[in-house]
Amino acid sequence: MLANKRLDAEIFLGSLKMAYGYDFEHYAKASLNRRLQALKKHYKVNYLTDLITLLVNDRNVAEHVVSLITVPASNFFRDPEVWQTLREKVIPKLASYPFINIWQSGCSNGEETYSLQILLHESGLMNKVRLIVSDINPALIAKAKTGAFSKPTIEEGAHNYALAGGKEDFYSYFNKADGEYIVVEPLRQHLEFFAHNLAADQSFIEANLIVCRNVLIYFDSSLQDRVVQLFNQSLARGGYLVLGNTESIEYDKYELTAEDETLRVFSKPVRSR
Amino acid sequence: MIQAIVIGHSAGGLQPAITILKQVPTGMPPVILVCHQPCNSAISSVIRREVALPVLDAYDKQKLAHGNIYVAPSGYHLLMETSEQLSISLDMPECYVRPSVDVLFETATDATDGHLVGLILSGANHDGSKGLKYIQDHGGLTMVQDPSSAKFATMPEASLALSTPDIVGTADQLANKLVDWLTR
Repeated sequence: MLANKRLDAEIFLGSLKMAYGYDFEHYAKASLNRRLQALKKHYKVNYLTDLITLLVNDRNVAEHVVSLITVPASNFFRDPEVWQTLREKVIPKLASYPFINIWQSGCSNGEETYSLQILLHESGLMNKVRLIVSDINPALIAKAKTGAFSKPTIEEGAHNYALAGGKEDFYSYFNKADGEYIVVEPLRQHLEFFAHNLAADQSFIEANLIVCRNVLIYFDSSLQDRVVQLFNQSLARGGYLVLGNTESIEYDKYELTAEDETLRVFSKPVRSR
Repeated sequence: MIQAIVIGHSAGGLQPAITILKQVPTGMPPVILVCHQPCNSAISSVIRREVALPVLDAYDKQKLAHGNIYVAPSGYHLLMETSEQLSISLDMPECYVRPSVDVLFETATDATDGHLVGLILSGANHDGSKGLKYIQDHGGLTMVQDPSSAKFATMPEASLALSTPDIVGTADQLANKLVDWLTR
């Protein structure tokens, strides 16, 4: 029975790749498989292969399928201790530079993008930072650009912000409109959004800080390796890499230094070893 | 051949979990634990104080080794990627919780082709009942703490409503049977 389930998923993903080029081969299988099972419920079919005719003949279905199996999840100041370390240890180091390049990869709905912006604003660095924000999914980029968030998201954000050492009124960073909270204009400046696929695209920046949290968990080990090499190429010497709290890399292999191993804060040595 | 032992609990489940873990001999298949508690690192340190086996905070793509106990991190789902590797996801909560017992149990069943043992202990939530049924439907062994011996009966009762586990009993009875299965 389980073998059939695997075959059903493989044929379905194969069709998605053959028809449209979407390639999930190097995604972590367990979570991808759960999303595929949820897809069956969504489309009320017993087998994913039942969907193939519809899938290959209607691009809208394919786009919808892709958006359902790459569902984003993000929060303001998720894992507050990481953001406290960014605020107290990483940003003060960057502050001495005349100009700071930051790449946030995998922006999702933008919660962490604006968390970063709040830290940069409170550190008085907004005017010398270029924050480049990427995601594989153009729909998510469009959503993140709007800077609009729901009440529960903002309430949780306020809680995490305080735990992360935030001293200001978190709500003051949003305007309330039609039940939504919209990020205030000053925090939406100096931001550049663009679509970037970690599985296929190349390095494009020399960054002093790369933040990519909870993206690697969705990749298998070989794709993780590619992505960490890409990050390493994209880091300036002395630059920092911040990953998600449960993500692990063999940082030594990439000649990175662990600034805080528990919080997954790494740096690229100033001098090559 | 049992490849993994998966345990799910919520409120009131820590003590019975420790009772059971204390009895697990060294060198057994990996034990993987999901508990709904605000701070799981506190949980793993409590278990570490009481149990002789190594207790590890689980992380993404961690290799599983016999003889170890792995505890799900707070706020993330814990999954079995293969019979030898864990993975993590930030997918939506299931049954309002993340980590979810259902997510671990279902992925562990897929990863081991049903060669596993699943245990449901005390808890005030329905999470785990679907997962335990999934384990049973695919040939795995299942155990549920007797609701009358559980501090919070909701979680065991929800499992009993969906499936007929191999054993229903107190923590001590479950521990004895588990050791029996593992060492026979």
